[in-house]
Amino acid sequence: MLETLGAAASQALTIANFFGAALGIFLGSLLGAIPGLNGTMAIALLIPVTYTWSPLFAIAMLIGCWKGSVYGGSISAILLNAPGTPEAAATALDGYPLTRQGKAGKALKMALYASVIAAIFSDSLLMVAAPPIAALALMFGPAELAMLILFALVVVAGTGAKSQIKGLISTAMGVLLATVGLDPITTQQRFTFGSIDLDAGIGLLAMLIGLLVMSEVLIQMEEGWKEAHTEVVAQSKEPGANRVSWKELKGSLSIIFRSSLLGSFCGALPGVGSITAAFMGYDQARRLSKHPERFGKGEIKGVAAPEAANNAVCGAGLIPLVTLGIPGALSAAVIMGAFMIHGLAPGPMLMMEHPETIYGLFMLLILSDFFMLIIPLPLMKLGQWVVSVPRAYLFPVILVLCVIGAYGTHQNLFDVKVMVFFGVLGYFLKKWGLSPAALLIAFILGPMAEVYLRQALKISGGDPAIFVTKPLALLFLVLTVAMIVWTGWRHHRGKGSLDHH
Amino acid sequence: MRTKVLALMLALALVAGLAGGALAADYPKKPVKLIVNFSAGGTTDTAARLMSTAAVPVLQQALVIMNKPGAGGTLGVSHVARAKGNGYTIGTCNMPAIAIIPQIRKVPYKPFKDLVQVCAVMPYEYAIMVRGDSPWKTWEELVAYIKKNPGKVTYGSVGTGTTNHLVTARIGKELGFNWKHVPFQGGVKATAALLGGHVDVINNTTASVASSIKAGKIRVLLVTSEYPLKLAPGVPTMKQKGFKFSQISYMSIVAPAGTPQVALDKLEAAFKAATADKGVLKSCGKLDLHPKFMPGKEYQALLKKLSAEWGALLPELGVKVKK
Repeated sequence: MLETLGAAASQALTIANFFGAALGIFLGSLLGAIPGLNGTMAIALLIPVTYTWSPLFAIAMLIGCWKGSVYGGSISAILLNAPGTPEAAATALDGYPLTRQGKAGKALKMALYASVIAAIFSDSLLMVAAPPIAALALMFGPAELAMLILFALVVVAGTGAKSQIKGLISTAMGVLLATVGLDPITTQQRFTFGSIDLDAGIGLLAMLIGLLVMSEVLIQMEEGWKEAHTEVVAQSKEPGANRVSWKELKGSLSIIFRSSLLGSFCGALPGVGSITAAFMGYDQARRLSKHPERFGKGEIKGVAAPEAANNAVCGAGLIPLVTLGIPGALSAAVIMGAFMIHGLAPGPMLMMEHPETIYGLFMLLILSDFFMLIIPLPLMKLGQWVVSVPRAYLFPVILVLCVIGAYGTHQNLFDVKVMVFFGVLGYFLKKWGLSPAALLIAFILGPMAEVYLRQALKISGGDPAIFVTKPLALLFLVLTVAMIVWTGWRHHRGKGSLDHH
Repeated sequence: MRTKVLALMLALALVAGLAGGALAADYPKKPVKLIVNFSAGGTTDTAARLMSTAAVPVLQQALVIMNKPGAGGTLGVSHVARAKGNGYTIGTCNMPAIAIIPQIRKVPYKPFKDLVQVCAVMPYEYAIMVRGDSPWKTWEELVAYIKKNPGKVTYGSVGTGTTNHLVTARIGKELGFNWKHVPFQGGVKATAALLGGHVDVINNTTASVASSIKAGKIRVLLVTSEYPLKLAPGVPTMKQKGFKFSQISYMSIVAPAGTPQVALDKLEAAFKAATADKGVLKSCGKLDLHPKFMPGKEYQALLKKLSAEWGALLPELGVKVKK
C-alpha cells in the first residue's frame, strides 16, 4: 500500500502536473465566468490537445477545468445576473441582489468558500467511500430514478418566479420545450417540423445562453437606457460588504454541508447532474430556513447553498467512472475519453491494474481544491472591475460573446438561432414575472422523468405497481406527496394568517 | 466564325478538364474536415482521432475533427451529405444511419444517393451479457430460463432501432421466446441498469465494458458480432450457435456524393494505411477496439444488403416504420 502511494506520489506530484491542474482551473473559471462562453466548451476544446500529453497531466487539467468552470459560472451570475454556466443559474437568484446592494465581494467570496469546502468533501468521499457509494448509485434503476426526479421536480418547480402560479407556468413551458426532438423510447420525431437540427432536441447550452444571458442584456439595456453611461453598481460603504465574516461562514456551514451531501448524491447517480444539484441545494436552504422570505432578495446562504451543491458533483461524478466505468455527469463522460485515449479503460479493473494512477489522480484532485482557493481570486477582482465599466460598452461585448458561445460548442449556426430565440423569449418571461431559471430546470428534469417513467413501465410490462413495490421508489413517491401536501398547507396557512390582519 | 467559336469552346473545355485534372491530382491542397457523428470522448471519436493522425503521412494534410453528435448519428451524417463534394469534407458514419434509421423516420439525406462510402475502418464488437453473479453461466442456460419463464426476462439496448435492439429482438423471434425490450439512451445507462439488476440482459459494445468483463462483474454469454472476441475467449458466436445472421455494424468514412474519384481513392488509401498502423492498433488494442479495413465499394454493397434485410424485418420486430 505504502509502496503504491509512494509510486502514485512520484507520478502525480510533479511540477508539470501542478501546472496542468492550475492551468485547467484558470481556463475553466475564466471561460465559466465569461457570460456566453462555458466550461464544457473549454473541455471540448482541450480534449484533442490532451491526447498527446501524459495521462495524469491531461486528466488533472481536464478535471481542473471542469471544477474551475463550475465555480467560474458563479462570477458572472453574481455580478451580472448572467450565469456563465447552467449550474450557476441558481446562484444568480440571491447573488445578483447582493451585487445590487453593493455586496458583490461578499457574494463572490462566499461562493468560492462554499465551492472549495464542497469540493474537498466530495473528493474525500471519492477517495474513502467510492465502492459503497457506487453500489448505492446502482440501486437506482429506472423506477427509482423516475420517482427521484419527480421529487426533484416538485421541490424545485417554480424557483425564482414571482408567484406560485407563474412558477408552475414556467415549469410547464420547460417540460413542453423539452419534448422537442426524438422520442427517447420510440425514436420517432416530435415537434421537429422536419428539421434535422431539431431531431437532436433544443441544445441546452444555446438555450441557456439565450434565456439567461442574452435576455438579461436586453432587460438591462432597456432599464438603463438613460443611465447607460453610468456604472452598474457602486460598492456598498457598509463595513464588511466586501468579505465574508467568520460568523457568516459559520452560519452557512450546515447549509454547505447539506448541499455537499446532496451534490455528491446527484453526482454519483449517472445522469442526474450538477444543475439539478444546484437547484435542489438552493431549495433545501430556502425551505429549511427560518426566514425563507429573505431568499431571492440577497440572502448570502442562497449563494452558498447552490455553489456547494454544484461543486460537490465533480468529485462524486468520478465515483461511478473509476469504480464501474460509468460516467456520473456529462463532463465526466468527456473525461472518460481522456482516460481511454491513454489506454486506461475506466472500470473496476482500473484500480487493480493502475492503482498508482488512480491514487495519483486523487492526490491531484485534493491539490486542485486548494488551488481553487487562490487561482480565481484575480478573476474575481477582474470581474468586479469589468462590471464597473459603463453598460453601454459592456453589453455589446457580452452579446458578441453569446453568439460565439452558442456557436462554439458544436460549431453549428442553428444553435445561434436557438440562442436568439430564447434570448427574446427570456426577455418577455422576465417582464411577465415568469422564471427563466424554473423553465431551465424543468427543461432538464422533464425529459429525465419521462424516460425513466417509460423505461420503468417497460420493465414492469405496463404495471404501475413497480413504483410502490420497489422500496426506494416508494420512499421518493411518499416524499413527493408529502412535499406537495406540505407546500399546500404552508400556502394555505400563509393566506389564513393574512386574513387575520 | 462558327469554327472559331467551336475551337474556343473546345479549348476552354480542354483547359477546364486539365485544370480539373490538375486540381484532383494534387488533392488535398488544404486540411480535410472530418465530421465525427458522435460526441468527443466516445468510442467512435477515440478511434477516429487515433486513425486521423495515422492517415496524415499518406494524405500529406491534416484531418481536422469536428464533433456533430445527436439523433443516433444522423445529424453528423446529414452535415456530410449537405457539404460540397470536393473531398474537403468527410465524416464518420455508423451502419444504422444508412441502412436502418432512414427506414424508421425521415432523415434529410438519401443514404445511397447523397453519400459515398470511402471505406469501412472498424467493425463494432457486440455481445449479449449478464451480470457476473447471475445464475446463467451459458447461453443455453439463459435460453432455457427464458422459455420456462415467458415474458419475465428484460433486455436493455442502447436505443430503439439500433442493431443492439434489433438483433436481440430477432434472436427472440427465431428461438420463439418473448423477452421485454427496454431502450436506454446509450450504452452507459444500459450498463448501469444491468449492474444494478434493473434489467437481466444487455446487448452492448464489448469495448465499453471491457474493464467490467475482465473484473468478472459482467459475463459474456453470446458474441453477436461475426468473430470470436479476444476479450471473452471460448464464448460462442451466433454463427457457432446456428444462427444465420449476426450483428454487423461498421464504423465507416463517408464523403458527399460528387466527390472526385481521385480524392476518394486518396482518402481510401490514407485510411487503409491508418487501420494497419502499428501505433493505432496498439492504442486501440488497449481499449479492445480492433480496426479493420474494408474497401468502400464492398462496404456500400454490404450496406445495401443489410438495408434490404432489416427493412423487411422491422415491422415483424415491432418497430414502427416510416410511411
